[in-house]
Amino acid sequence: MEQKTAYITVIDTIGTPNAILHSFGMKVFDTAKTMVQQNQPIVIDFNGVRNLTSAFLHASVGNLVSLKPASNNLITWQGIENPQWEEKIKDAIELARNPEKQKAIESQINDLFNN
Amino acid sequence: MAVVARTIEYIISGELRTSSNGFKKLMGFYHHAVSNPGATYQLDFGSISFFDANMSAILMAILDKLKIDNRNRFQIDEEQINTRCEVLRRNGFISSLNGSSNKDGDIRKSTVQLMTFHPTDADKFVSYIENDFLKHRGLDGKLDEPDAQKIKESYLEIFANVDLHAETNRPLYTCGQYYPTKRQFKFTLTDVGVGFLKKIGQKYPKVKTYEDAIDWALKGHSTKSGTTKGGTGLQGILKYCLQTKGEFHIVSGDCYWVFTGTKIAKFYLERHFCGTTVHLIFRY
Repeated sequence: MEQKTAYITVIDTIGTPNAILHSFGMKVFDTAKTMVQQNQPIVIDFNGVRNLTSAFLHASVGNLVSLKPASNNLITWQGIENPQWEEKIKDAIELARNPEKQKAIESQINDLFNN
Repeated sequence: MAVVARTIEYIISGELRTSSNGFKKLMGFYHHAVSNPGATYQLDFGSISFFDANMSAILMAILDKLKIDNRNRFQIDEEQINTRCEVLRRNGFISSLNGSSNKDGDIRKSTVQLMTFHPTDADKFVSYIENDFLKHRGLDGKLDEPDAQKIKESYLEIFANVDLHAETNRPLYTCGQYYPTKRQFKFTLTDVGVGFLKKIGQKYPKVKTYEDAIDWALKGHSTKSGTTKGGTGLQGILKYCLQTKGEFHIVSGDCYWVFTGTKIAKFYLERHFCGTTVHLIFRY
């Protein structure tokens, strides 16, 4: 039987429109963890969020994706209008699914240190 | 017999700039006070010739730490500040020291006020970065929207990282100064936590020195446990400075690390402080 989609509203979960702390991201992760483990589709609703960091996204979206890295469309999101934020979310997902990508970023920075 | 607390006069003289020498000067004072627990210090700024107001974030962090951990007390001649170093009045340093609010603010609007934040006080920090920092006359209208957003988000990442890594409930300190004729804007953020090395070294034993730890963090690593890799925000700031020839300093433990806008330099600090200090110097 198909499971009903659950909606996780970020600002209700963390109590502020500033989704910047790792601990705030972990609140979202803790709220949705069991649902994802049971293959229940979730939508993370960013409506009303004013500030967003990768620290928050890696703790929330990245960690949730890590629970089921092979499942596409289990975790989706809405309410993102800023294209940079969209990129950040995709980066968090990409890194959760493919840790090797981080190595390419590191090698660019390494060049700076080695020159 | 009652013990009379000693009063020690300590002269901070010459230039106190956003540099390794400026930092060393403050460390000289800090370690002098550490070796005199319980003493009252009369700080003499009478022969100071230059003081980057943003450096007062470090000075205030030092004074607060010494008051709590070393029972020191501090006195400052406010008349002397008015004549020699009045930027410390305008930026809120004197009022912070006295535990009052800087109700007059900065009439010349060349400083971003000295402020303290609890590491989890996300909303207050966001408001400070959005309203006091980015809307300061030194930056407002001078950064395009994407750059302003990048800088803001990098600072928010750094703030998030203090909460994660600094292992302290004590506040972090920020302050800035704008130099319109030099077309420079200097901004400092300092915390009194454990610095970079402890957590990074625990997780990655190959990282043995503060210098290694700063390099490691700048390469985009993070020690966030139980998460995918994210970065500390420091790499984001470095990328921005690389693109804009901005200057970026990181001080942690015995390492004073600088990106000058074109290259990296590192200085060894014989006498150091706890926590981490980050300076950013924008140029336009």
